[in-house]
Amino acid sequence: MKEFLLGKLDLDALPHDIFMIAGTVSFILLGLTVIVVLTWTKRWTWLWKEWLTSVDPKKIGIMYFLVAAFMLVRGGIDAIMIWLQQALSSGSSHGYLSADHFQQIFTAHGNIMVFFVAMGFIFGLINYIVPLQIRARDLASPLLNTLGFWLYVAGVIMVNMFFVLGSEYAATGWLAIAPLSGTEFSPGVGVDYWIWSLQISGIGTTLGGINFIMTILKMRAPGMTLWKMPMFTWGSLFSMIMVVTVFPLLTATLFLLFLDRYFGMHFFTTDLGGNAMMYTNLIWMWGHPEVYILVLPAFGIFSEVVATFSRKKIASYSSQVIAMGGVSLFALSVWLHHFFTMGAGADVNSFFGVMTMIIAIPTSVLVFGWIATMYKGRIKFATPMLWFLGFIGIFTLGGMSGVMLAIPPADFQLHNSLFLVAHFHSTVIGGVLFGIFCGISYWFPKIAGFRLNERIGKNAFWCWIVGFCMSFIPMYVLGIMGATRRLDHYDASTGWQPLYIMMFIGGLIIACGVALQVVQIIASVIQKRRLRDTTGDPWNGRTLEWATASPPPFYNFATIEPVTTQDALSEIKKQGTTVEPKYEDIHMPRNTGAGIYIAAFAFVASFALVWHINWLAIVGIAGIIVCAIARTFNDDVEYKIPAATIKEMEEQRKKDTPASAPVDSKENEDMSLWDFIKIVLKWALDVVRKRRLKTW
Amino acid sequence: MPKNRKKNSPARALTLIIVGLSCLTLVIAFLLQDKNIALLHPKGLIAQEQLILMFIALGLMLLIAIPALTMLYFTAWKYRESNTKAEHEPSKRHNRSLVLVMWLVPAVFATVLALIMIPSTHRLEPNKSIAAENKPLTIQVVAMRWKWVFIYPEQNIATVNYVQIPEDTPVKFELTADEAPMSSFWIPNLGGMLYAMTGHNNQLNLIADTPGDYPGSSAEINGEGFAGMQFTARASSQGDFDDWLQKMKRSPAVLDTAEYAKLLKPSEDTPAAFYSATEPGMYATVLKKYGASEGHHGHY
Amino acid sequence: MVNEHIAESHEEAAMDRVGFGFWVYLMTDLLMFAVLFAVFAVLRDATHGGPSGQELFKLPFVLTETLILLTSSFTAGIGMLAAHRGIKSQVLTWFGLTSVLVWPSWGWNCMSLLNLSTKAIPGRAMLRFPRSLRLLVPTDCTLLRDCCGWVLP
Repeated sequence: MKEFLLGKLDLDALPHDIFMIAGTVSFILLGLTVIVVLTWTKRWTWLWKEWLTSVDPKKIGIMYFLVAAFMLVRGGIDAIMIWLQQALSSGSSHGYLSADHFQQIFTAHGNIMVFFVAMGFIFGLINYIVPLQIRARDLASPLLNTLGFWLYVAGVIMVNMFFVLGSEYAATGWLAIAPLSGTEFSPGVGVDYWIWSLQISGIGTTLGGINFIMTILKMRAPGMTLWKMPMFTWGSLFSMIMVVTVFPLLTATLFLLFLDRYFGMHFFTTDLGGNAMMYTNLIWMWGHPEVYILVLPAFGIFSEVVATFSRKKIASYSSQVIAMGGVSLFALSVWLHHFFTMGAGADVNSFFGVMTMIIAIPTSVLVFGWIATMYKGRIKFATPMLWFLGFIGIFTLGGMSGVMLAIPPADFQLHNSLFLVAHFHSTVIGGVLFGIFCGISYWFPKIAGFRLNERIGKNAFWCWIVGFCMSFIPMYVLGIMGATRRLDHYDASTGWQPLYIMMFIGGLIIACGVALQVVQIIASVIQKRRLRDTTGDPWNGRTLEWATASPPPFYNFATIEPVTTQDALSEIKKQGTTVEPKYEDIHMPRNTGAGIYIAAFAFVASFALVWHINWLAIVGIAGIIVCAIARTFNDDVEYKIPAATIKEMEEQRKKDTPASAPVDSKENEDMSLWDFIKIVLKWALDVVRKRRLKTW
Repeated sequence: MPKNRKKNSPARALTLIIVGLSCLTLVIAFLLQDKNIALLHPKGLIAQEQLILMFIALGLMLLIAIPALTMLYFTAWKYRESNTKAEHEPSKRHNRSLVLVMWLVPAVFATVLALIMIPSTHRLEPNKSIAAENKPLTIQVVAMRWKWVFIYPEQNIATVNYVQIPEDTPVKFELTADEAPMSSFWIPNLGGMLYAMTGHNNQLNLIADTPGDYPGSSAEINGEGFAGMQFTARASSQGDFDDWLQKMKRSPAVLDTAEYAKLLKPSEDTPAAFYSATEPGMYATVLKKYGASEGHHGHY
Repeated sequence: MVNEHIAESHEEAAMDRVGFGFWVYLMTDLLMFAVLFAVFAVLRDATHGGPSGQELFKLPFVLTETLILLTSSFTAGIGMLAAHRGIKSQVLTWFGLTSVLVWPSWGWNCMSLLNLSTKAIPGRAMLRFPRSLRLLVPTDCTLLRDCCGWVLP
């Protein structure tokens, strides 16, 4: 009876070792804090109405940022734990983590960073910025948007759930290669948590991909042909086309692994006809395009930033677009380079090696395009430009090591070594993460209404660069020394320990960089008034997102005017149009809780499938279907705002924020880090003094 | 804020970067003085060829990367807004020839690399026998949790987590696994790795040209005891190898079915073991267990 | 691809978007099933000495079932068209016909699935995804999705 009700769940699942308990306690405390604050400030209804059920891509974008930022901290703590273990665990010392636990930590680190941090930030940016860039008011399907977000959150909860129930995550590496991830070698619930957290958020991503493609292809401003779209929109389009092409492969593969584990089938097992190599092929058919999915929007961001801050049109627009397209096309044909060492033979290996080389061509074209854009420009080195310069150096390092790995005989010596780990961190941190930071610091004024503190921003940037070099250059060296990845312990005679210690110190410096980024945001909030963006266009931008207020009104644009050229806003500024706007009725989608309800049932179903609670799984799946059908009966999904109201709102807004010359608050009058520390100390002392006075 | 500071800022940054990286390099070089930088100290033909290939690739890439990066950072510096002397053409129309160069230069490099890669991939294919004067030696390797079992079929001895080979002798390692996830057989000083998987018989050919002890490991995670799955590969002179064979023949332990079953049980940090005899056809039995045969060499 | 939003009404534009988006979604489904078919192609002979596909699957039976299910998809489609036109009697007729076709064949199929799982390895679970189930699932899910997809904005 108990087995029927609870499946594999029993008291053993509760946390019983120090790390699990610590994790559980932190999550509980965090949750309690949020609940207490919301109750105290009586903001539950506000939260539900304004944010959780919102279908506004701007709000969903911000929610993506918040969740992704939280996961960045969690993934970063995982990274510090990994570095610390490897720095300590030499010779007779075995560090502070058991081998199994260490393996779970790096698996979680990889999954969190790729699926929940990078995808989260990228989706947040695309949600917020792409509709603004194409002069649309919303995405094509507001429902799919909110559903995709909440499925992502359900995945986030699943990947954190194991602290509370189960005390184990997959210990297989971030892609859970079979047969290690089968029940024979991983009998616990860890891999099941892995499967379902990725499966739900993967489906959310696919839905988001469909939505973005619909939006970009069908909702552009009149006159904006594809060849007039901004670069970030192009990067997002190519990325989303890849999403809808390869995420279904992931869905199917995870489903097959689930069948192996849940029903005892033999797709990927070592016995009874299973073929583990099939899993490797399938998962990398998804896995390689995934990293290009992450980096293409980043390329788009860099193109925008370079053009804007060089005050020059992007050089050879066509080449850049074709290059991005080439990257996405060829990304689909290189997956075997992840397992040259499996023994497929020289012909197969050569083919995939050559295809991998070919990707280097469009990537180089992109870099040359950026050089050509800066040539004879007038470059302002605000923080976004710094992130770009940092990206070039680090990404080139990653690219070169990638080309070396693409040569099969060289790969035989470098595969699964720390050289490989350094390679992909160089490309992902240098490309994707720096792209995200660049995009966020570039579009922050648009999103928040005030720009970020430049001085602390630059400090954070340099921390990241120094920390990165300190962490990853020794890693390349360790790879050359023959150090394998994922080792929880190694011989003292290898001489690797000093390098691991250097890596750990580098990691601490990166942590300082992240802390400084948080400080940057807080300092900017403190100096909000001074840093305010009153015109909506603080950087003298070239694309349409700067043609509306900062932050934009909920309807984005009061009027959808046609577009005639690339760099639409620059053209408008040149022409100096002063046409009286013609207001029309606007249809906006209503908020809906359908996304949350469906995602909640999806979460329940996956949780049940992890623990083999069959009746609950059926309830969950039935719930999803019922909610979806119930939603189809809801005809009242839009509301209309009459033109007169829009006119009123626009005139009110113009009165409140008189457009003036772009805010030119001097960067060197921004708060410095030392100023910030002084302010914090003063505030702390004030609090203590007030408390003292009270007790008196 | 004094204007000088802003002007010198890029120069300061560049100096700091160069100084920082140099310090880092020096510290690392100092720390690694007499350590085994395995890939840079090839002790066999295969590893040597692989290293040469890596250097060629690196050289070609630096040939394009260094000018490109220099151009980029120089352009960024020259056209900074505080440099009023630089020209500013906000709507400069690009010329066709520039675009052509942008695409052709990387294409040429990629082609050259591909033309180098394809023949060398065929030449360095792991299952290709190495041509040498001495007669080749076959060693059958079974990856288990979490140890390596080496069977010498011709000499009828076996070892665990230790393998000895004579120098200048081509060695054919036949790799498979038993009750273990995918493992990767790797002796970095001697050459690249190859996967050892259940139901597959992969062939890795290596040769050592210098006597010495070389570390070997599994380069693919295969469970909790993964880090402890290390072995020593000793290359010795032919005479020393023959002596070792004699010593092995005097070892009390024997790798029979019972002992093999004991080895199959998962164990971590297994110490080296030596067996004076093995059951004949043991390796073939392992392959048959998973429905494969010895004729199946690596291509799946 | 030039947008002509100025000419289209708001509703027409929305329907056009939904239609296009549904096609994109169908393509993702296609890819998912492509993986399943690829896996079948690779693993079809990997029975490890157990019964082969020829022994397990009765192709005439599978063909009949597939045809019945395809017909039911067709009748459901006509029912949807009738629903769009608001002709209640036709809707009831066509969906009634669909039920008559679907529910018995679903039951039939579940029984044959159970039969397969016991036959393939006595006492243990199946070797691989039976072809018949693979064809059953998409048609029924397509039915469900069509219902939702037409009306979901």
